[in-house]
Amino acid sequence: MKRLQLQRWSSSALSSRARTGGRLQRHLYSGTRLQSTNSYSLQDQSLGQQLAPPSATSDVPKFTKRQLPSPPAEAARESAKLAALHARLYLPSRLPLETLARCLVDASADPSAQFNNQSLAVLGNDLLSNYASEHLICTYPRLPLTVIFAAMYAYVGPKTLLAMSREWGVEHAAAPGGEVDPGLLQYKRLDPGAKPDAEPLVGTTRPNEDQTTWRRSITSSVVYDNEFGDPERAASPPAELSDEPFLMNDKGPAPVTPEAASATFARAVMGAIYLHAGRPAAKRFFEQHFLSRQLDISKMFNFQQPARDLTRLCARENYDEPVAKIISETGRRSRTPVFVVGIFSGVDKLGEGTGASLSEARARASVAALKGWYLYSPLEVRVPSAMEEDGAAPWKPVYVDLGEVIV
Amino acid sequence: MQDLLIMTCVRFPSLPRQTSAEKFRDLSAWINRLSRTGIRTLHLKSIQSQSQSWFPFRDPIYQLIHTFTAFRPRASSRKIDMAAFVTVSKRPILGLPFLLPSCEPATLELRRAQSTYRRTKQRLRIKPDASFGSSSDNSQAHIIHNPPSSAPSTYHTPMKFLPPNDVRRTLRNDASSKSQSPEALPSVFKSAPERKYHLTREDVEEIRKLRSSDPILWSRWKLAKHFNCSPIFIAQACEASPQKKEIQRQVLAAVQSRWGKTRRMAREDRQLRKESWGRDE
Repeated sequence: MKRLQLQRWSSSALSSRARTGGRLQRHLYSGTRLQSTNSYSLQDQSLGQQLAPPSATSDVPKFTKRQLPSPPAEAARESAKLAALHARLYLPSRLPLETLARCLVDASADPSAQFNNQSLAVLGNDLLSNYASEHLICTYPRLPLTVIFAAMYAYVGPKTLLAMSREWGVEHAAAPGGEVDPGLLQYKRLDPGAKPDAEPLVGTTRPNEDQTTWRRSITSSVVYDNEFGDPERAASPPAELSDEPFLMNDKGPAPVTPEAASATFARAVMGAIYLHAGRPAAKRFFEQHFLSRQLDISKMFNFQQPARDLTRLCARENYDEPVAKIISETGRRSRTPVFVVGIFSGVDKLGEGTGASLSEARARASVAALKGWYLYSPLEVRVPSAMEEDGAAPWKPVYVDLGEVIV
Repeated sequence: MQDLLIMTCVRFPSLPRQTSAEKFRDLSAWINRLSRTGIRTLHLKSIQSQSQSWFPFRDPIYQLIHTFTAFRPRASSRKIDMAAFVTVSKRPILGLPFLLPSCEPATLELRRAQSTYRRTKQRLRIKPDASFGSSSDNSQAHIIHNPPSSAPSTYHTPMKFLPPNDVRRTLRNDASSKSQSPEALPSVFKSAPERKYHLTREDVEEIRKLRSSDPILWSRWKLAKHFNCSPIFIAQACEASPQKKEIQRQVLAAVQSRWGKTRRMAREDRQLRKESWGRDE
């Protein structure tokens, strides 16, 4: 597989001043904001007014930092917080401080797509979902879909990303602005007491979303919903890059929660690493920071009728009918009896459970047997993205299961 | 000394007053001898629990004297503290031969029931794991595997659930995976469910017709008894009418309205416990 020239791409992630690339690129990608002139006076010119094209001899912008929605790129080199964050995360040296500063600017702070982390976060989210889902599906090929969604949420969900950005030591700015230290996460905060999820989500990717009484199957979540099985807002086409600069007196975008802003930041870091340092570095970053988090998948199950499910499973797989047998017991006539019940199919024991009553022990044994089925993991787990490495061994198909038990 | 007299009278109220005075003189003589030997005060030990067989004296006062136990009182008061049962003597009690009756000195020891100790010891004697003992071939180095008794891990896939091309299938074959034979184990249920499959399509139609005709009369249990099948099969074959469901719901609400706080909480707790089984908590 031919390697992509990511270095060439990643230069577009930097604003024109921070870029160290060639002169042609500098000419092509020069941001309009930095070239905007000082013909802007807030008192007598409205923002929607068409600007005169910047002259070739235009000087450095005369905007003060307070008028900018986010810190300028040259402030990144002077921020101790940013350098410390870069060193603490052990980020590759090819990832410049300016991009890391851009990762910390949320779209609610600076709506300009050239200066916020929205594009990086989209890329990073796709990478995180890809790596996490292929790890889950290849490691536990029999997991039910609900458990896969829950595990995805546990690995790369917004709550996890918020916890991770706290562990990384990212502090939040009180309010975004040009004079703020670029090492702080900048977003527009919600008003105190505001409920971010008060009204139901409209404009999702799911068809017939106005029919609230219709059944929403878990299978349709695979098709319509996001990687966590939740309905998501349909993506709007990217807004045109407006030529006029965005200033602080403009009516700002909607505020976001700290959780959403932190999640966007963590995804943007992932996308920035991919752009600047390439795929192996991005995968290493994922394994070190995301996959290394301990997640007990066996705690994520919730069976309503485990004995019935196990019977259906054995019927589907042509096994003998599961039979519950008492392995040992103590204190049957006492106040605290303990029964150990095993579920046998033929001569093989499928599961074992203990309980204070025979029905409880049987139910727990059925749960143990079902978990033994669902938590099967092959010995050598190889994910598809391992094929992207140089000199990878030929691909062997992974184990694919029939799917969960449907009663 | 006054305490001793009181104790004597309290413990042996049936003795005549004269006899008890004599015995008390004997007691004071004993106590004088004892105080000369270094034991400061004496404490009465209950003699009811003592076995009478070995005892040489029938007289309860002599029994009393012979079951004296050396005892150190509190330093401040000379009164005998009945609550404390610490046995301390300045000299070992065996070094005072005049104190001992002509019997074994076991009763002069601490208050400890011999049988309880033996039983405790017996209970604590747990058989070690088979791998701890002397194996058949001690010549070779071997692994002692003595795992604690715990529930098996759910990440350990049972043999039957492994796919046919999995390596672990062949690895576990030779191992002793079949330690228990399920035939020898007792079943959880008293009788195995009997599957008869005797109802035909016409019978199912009849069931539906009967249930829709008079849902009060033809309940699930009555239909099951009539057609000799399980009520679950009746529920699978047909559904109750909405009117019957509403009646049943009202009956249940009427029953539940008579429940008190304790019963209601107990029922709710039971339901919550049942739900926790499926989460394996």
